[in-house]
Amino acid sequence: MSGSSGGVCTGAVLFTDLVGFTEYNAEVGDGEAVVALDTQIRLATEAAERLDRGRVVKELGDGLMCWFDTTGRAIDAALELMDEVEAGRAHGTFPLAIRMGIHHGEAIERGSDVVGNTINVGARIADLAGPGELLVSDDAMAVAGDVAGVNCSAVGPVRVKGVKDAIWIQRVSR
Amino acid sequence: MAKLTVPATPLVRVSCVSGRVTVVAEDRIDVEVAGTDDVRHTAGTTTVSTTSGRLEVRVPSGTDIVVGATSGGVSVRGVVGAASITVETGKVVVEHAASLDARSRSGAIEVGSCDGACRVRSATGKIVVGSCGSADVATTSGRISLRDVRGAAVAHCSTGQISIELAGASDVEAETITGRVTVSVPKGVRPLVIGPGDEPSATDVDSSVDDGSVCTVTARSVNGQVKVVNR
Repeated sequence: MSGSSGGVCTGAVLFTDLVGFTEYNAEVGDGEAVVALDTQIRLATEAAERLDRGRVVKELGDGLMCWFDTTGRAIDAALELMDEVEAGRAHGTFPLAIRMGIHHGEAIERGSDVVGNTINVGARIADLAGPGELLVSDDAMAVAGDVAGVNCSAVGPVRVKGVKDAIWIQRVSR
Repeated sequence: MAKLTVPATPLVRVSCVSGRVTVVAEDRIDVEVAGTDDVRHTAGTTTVSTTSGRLEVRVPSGTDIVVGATSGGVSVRGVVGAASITVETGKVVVEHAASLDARSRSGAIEVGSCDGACRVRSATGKIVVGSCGSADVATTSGRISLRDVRGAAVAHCSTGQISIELAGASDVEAETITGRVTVSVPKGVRPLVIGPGDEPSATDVDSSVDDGSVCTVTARSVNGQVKVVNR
């Protein structure tokens, strides 16, 4: 990974969120709900760390934050995770849909965590995604390079409070 | 408000931080802007930006639009082409679009009609679509009402009711964690109805339609009634 502890690093942040987790937890109880969380982190860890793409930084409630050196690796991992979750839903082995957002830029390393405006924007992009959707900022796509077999469609601008310029985003799928 | 006029372009992009945005599509050959003087014009795109205040943009009917606002809501009147709208907080109202992708973190989204694909996302707020080609709709908390859906429909809601009225034989996928799901199909349409499968606490589907296979209706709710009916 680029950068040193406490230093500035450049890469792509991926946020995931299990859609409807709070309501699902209320209906099925903590035991079943934790199974869903454990499955999400297992699948995300496998996707993020396969081929040394990146890493899961931390759990955030029913979502995850992951960090990658490049947008291309983040998109590969995100789409792989999406495929695994959708396959689980189709087979009845995973109960919830997942939504995700990716942004690229500089961040500050704080121990094992990464923080900064890039992270804040990535989280807001994920908020706009629907079940089974991956949204990626135009800035991230511009540096993604050749990501094989993906389709992109413009979604529009996201205005994030405190950020002067609009962030333009795309919907990415295979 | 002072007004600026530029030649028409196939695409008009509007970006507003705080304030209501109104786009009016009508019989005209130029783009008229009121509420800002930050208007950039190229051969293919007109970009209108403002940080605050009410913004009104008049465009030729059929123009493609991309609109982003932080707060204040977006209203689109007349008939536009492909429309993409993202709002942080505020209501979104679209009269008629060729296709639509509308998203709001907080606020209702109401669509009169959409010729083709209608994709709508809202974190909290009801979603109402009067008529569409196909629908892909999701809200975390709020009611979803889709009427006159001529193509496939996908509706997802964590807390709230889903009501879908099909115009003909089309595939439907409707899911809610808590809330009622009702899918109505025209008389004579005989869908294959698929319930929730082996999920824990899932409810059965109450189907009063004759079994068939002309289309597939997959409906599930962890805690709520699921009904498939003829109308």
